[in-house]
Amino acid sequence: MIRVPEPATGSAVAAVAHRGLRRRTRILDQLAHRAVAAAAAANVLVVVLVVVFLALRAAPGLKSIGLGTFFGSSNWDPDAGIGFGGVGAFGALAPILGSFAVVAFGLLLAVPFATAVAVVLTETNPRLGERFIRPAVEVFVGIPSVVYGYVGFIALLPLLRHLAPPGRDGSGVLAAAVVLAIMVIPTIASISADGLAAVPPALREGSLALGATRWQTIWRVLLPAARPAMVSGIVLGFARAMGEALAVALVIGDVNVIPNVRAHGLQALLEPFTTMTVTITDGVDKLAINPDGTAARYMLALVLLMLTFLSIVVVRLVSRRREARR
Amino acid sequence: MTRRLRTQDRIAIFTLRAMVALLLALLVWVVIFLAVQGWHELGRLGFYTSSPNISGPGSGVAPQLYNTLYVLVLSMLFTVPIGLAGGIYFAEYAGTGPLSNLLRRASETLATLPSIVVGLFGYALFVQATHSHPSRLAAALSLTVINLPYMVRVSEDALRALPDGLREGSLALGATRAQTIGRVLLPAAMPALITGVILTAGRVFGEAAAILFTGSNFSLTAHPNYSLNPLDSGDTLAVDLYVFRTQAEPSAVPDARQYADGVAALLVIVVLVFNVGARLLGRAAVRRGRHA
Repeated sequence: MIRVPEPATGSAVAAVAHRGLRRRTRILDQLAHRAVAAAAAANVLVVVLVVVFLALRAAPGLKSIGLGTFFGSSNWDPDAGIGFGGVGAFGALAPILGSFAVVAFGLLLAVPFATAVAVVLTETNPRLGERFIRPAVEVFVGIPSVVYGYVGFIALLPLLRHLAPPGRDGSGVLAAAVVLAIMVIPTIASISADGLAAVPPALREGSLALGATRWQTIWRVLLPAARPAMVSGIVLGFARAMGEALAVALVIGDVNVIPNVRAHGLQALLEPFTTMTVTITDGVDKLAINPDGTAARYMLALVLLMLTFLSIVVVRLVSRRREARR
Repeated sequence: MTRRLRTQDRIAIFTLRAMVALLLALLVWVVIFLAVQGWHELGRLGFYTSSPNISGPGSGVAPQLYNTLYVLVLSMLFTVPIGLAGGIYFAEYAGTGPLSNLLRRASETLATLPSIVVGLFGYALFVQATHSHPSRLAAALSLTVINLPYMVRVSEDALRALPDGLREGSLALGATRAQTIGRVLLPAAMPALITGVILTAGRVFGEAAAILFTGSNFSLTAHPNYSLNPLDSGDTLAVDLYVFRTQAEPSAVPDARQYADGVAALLVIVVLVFNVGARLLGRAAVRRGRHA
């Protein structure tokens, strides 16, 4: 219904009421803005809290263990101090080397396959890719990592046992690398595929028009053009693999001894080993009763956190360069 | 020369396709393998009604299942409102200034944090600093830390996918930004948002490391706890897959392997149902929206 404006007092009341309504709407509008901004700011708060609490819990270890021992010694016996008055040893070289070994071999396996998926998805079979491969890959991202670890434990270890030195069960760097590779292939593949899809069509057409084969176009033009995206994908895959705990714990054997590469060569990949995440995990039931060991494990978590930050920075730098080039 | 190049091209493309086929075959094999291995256990009634037992046969997942659902619902109560609000901020309010960039970087950082780091953080903040013990609440809060950036992203994507005409039309009619979001954009984005919420919830099933540190009780006894108390502790399915394998006495539990196979198969089936269901639901909602 349309109100005919009333003269004199009535109109003044209406104007006041209208202004009141508008003020309420305006205040609500501002409140909504503040509320969603606060929710976004919660991200920063949580990151700060994570840094503060990890540092706080790791601080006693930093003081009593010292960085030299922590990074330089592979003598790790964190639980010796519980109950029997023994003295624990906190040299974390083995788990740190283990993490890097497992992740390096995992990426070595994952990157060729992830690149193949990205190329097939965007270049050689785009229709099949959109219909079938991409949904399939997305679904497999959802499979819990601990399940991949379990499959590795019941299916992969018996296979590797035949290759392993006598008396070993097949667990070690190779088994962990295979499990991690399966886990991170979808991550690397989807980011690389986005990068390939974003390459200007003129590059592809120009290369093909000059008489290059499809493979030459892919290898010499498209993959180099998509390199920043691929680097981002690999770095994020690195971060995921570095942080995976239980899947690795199921297949690596959890032995805090650096395999003797010089004596055993490639078979060292089939000797039980450990990683930072696995070393943290196996202390979970002693967190409250073993303060020294817990502090050492928080130091490992701090190392993982630093690597996470480093990954983010690298991804930012790479994508900034990509934007600058455009 | 050209012949050689053509052969090289064929071989290279064939190799790429073969690698992808091999990978997909491997992934499909994993699912089928788990289903076949767990088939027997999934068909046993006791698997769903009894409790895990590390000193005898006949374990079941009933308390784990209860706990998983409990922690899932509790964590989503935190994750959905905060994540949706964050997504609204990034899609509708955030600019390209340094403050918005800082918030974005923080969200990316959270998304990249290893689950086990969140677990240790959750233990320090929600368990130690509050002088309590591992609990469902601590586990749910830790899961919120893990899932928040994911929920933010799916909400942001859902809002960004809307045509600008909706936004502009509403603003041009005199609606405020908050009214535009609440009455126009959110209803229009609802199918995508529901899909996003289901996908986020599905991630809870697979999360193990963080819950191991913040909510697990390590007491796989025959005394299940079906209370509603958020301060009680309990293992979830994914945690159980790890804990049971490391704690069960092989001599006392002859069916440990079958039980673990059943848990793994159940996890995969639930996660696949969530994933595929969310996508089908999203697609169906979009189709219905188009017809309406």
